[in-house]
Amino acid sequence: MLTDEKQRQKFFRETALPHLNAVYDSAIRLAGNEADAEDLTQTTFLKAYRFIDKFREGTDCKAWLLTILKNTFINQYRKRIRGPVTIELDEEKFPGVKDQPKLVTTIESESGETDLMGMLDEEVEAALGSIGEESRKIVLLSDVDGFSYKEIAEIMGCPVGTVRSRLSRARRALRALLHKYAMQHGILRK
Amino acid sequence: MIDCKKASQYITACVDGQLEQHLHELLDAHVAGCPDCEATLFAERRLKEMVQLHHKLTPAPDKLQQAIMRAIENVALPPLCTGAIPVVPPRGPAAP
Repeated sequence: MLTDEKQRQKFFRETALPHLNAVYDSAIRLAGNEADAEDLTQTTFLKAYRFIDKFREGTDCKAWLLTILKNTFINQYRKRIRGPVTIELDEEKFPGVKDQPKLVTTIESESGETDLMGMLDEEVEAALGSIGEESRKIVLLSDVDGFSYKEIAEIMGCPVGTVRSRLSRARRALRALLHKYAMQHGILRK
Repeated sequence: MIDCKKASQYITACVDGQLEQHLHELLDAHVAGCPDCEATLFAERRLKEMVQLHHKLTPAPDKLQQAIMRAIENVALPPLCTGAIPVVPPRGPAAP
């Protein structure tokens, strides 16, 4: 129990504040612009501070903060800033999106270990940027922020089944794009 | 027993840890005897790891951290559920 205000501040600074970038990065995804993301992040951290006694030490503080962020977004922001939902994945724009490229299985590092991590940050970001904003968002909400399908459905205001199918299509498109990159750069042998 | 088409519908949820237990068991049974679906499952796992590894966080502006710390040091927090707390100086309209 943190009785003293200075003690609370120290605990907050050491436990919650290191996750500021992760929360802000997610807030940009949710809010869609920097000004709202700053407000959303700030509200999240001030709520976290207010309820810091509820946080159980040793548990995942980033996940706790992201849950506060998500709830704050749903309760206070979504209706105001949510734009139209668009899905941009189709065979015409993303040739091969309906195929099932076996990307990683044929990639091997020098040690002979299957490894895809030789990809560059830029290539992954470029691929993420090529699959359409909604698809990019849903992949990052799942993979980077670690939200469940139910939480993503709440954030995006759509059914869980839609999250599932959009995520599946987005990953297929990403695999197709990165497969192309791997072929061009000799990471893939066939 | 499920076929490849059904298995492909379950793979994403499996990778995300969101597949119901009984469907997980069906997928496991299928994948055990289907190299193609096993490869797809493996590829999708690696893709998720790759996104986690390579995504670059957008750093929060310095002024935001300063504003948060100023606010908690002042302690007099306004009531919750009132929307954003105006500690960050107001800005113009967001870029389109």
